[in-house]
Amino acid sequence: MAGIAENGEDAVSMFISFSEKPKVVLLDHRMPLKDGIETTKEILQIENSTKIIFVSADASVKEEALSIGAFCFKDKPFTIENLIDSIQNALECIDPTITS
Amino acid sequence: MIKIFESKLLIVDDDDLMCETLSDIFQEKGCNIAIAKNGREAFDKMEQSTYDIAIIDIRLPDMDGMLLLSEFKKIYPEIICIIITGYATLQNASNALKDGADGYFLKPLILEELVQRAQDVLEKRDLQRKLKESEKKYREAYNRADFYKDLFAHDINNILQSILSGMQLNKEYLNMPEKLGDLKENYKIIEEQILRGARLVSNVRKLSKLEDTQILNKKIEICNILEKSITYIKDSYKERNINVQIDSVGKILYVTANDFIEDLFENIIINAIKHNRNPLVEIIIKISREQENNINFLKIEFLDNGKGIPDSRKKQIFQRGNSEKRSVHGMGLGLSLVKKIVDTYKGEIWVEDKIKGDHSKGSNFVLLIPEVV
Repeated sequence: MAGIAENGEDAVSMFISFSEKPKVVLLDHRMPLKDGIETTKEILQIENSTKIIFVSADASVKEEALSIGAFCFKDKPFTIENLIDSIQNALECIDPTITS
Repeated sequence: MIKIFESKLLIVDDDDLMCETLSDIFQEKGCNIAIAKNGREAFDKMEQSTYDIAIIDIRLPDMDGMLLLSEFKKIYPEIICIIITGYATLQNASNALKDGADGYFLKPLILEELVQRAQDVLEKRDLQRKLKESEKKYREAYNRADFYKDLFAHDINNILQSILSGMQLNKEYLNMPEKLGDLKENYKIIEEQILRGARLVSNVRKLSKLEDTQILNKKIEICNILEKSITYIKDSYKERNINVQIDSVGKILYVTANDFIEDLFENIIINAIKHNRNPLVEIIIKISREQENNINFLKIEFLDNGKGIPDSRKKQIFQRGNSEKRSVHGMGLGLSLVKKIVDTYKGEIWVEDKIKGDHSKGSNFVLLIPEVV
């Protein structure tokens, strides 16, 4: 795991600071300073191959998240298995040779 | 509903006899009458008082009564305007009604019809007002229900996520003795989340009650309530090391408030604990006096050593469910409830840095509540 950020602004700063960009980002929506939608836009502008798994307890933001390029949208609550599957799918999308 | 006998009437006519006749008949009905002999006088009267009805003659010495009608309707849209004229044409009548006249009467007047018309239009205006108020209340109630539905969906889902993840991880850890510490930690998190959910339900109920009912304020002694709140919170957060000191201008102090004041204090203090990762949570409560606009207030400051609030968020933390910007920060309703309660006291609340200019050293929540001296 590359890191944990508490808000959208820290997330973007951290993302910029990595020389090797994270392949998958697990991103919440309702956060202080910058929300998940804005953070997604900025991260994808920096590196558009990054797979963003958009997570939220607010299902009303799903359509917008997917339309701006999130890899997938997860409604809370989700199981750990479900989350692992999504991360797996994201990694396989980047590199189909990855096996579970 | 305003009845004719409660209304204020302005007669605009340069004919003394007409003014006297109209004045007599409407005074008999109980109206308060004012008379203007021309347009300029009519405008002056309207500036000095409010009128429910204006009866306007078309031919005034200084202006066309129709001009007066359209100006009145622009500036005072609620006023009922009845045109009277001895020079009727179909065009005039049509224009008057287009310009918003509520009646058009030919001289010689049938006075009973004029009075009846005034009464009818007053009733109609009153019904329209009631309908608008009813629509407004319905819209507000709908928005409130929508807001609480959104709030619950979001916050409860977050709580359920934490509980679900904790339980799932613990299922894995049951057969892993080396994970005993993590197991215990997860059960603690699950317990906290359940209590958090209970607090959320309680806060939503209280917010809803504050909005729906008129809760009367009364004289309340706050030092005792503050001590009670502190004791209750320390018992609820036994696992945290919490030190609260009170520095007060008096031992017995009264404010104009209500029974929600306990929730007010508790939510501010809980907020200070929640956003504090230090091994020792230190809260200083300073109570002093302040005067603003000739009103005496008690100023209660809650200074903590928590992680503080950046300037960009200082106003936002009291707002919840802002429909223009759905990206709401954080969870829980505590500070929204606090703001709503303070509003009912006609007090104020805001947050500053504990050490001015450096929010990382902690916050100072400042509360002003009207004092009963």
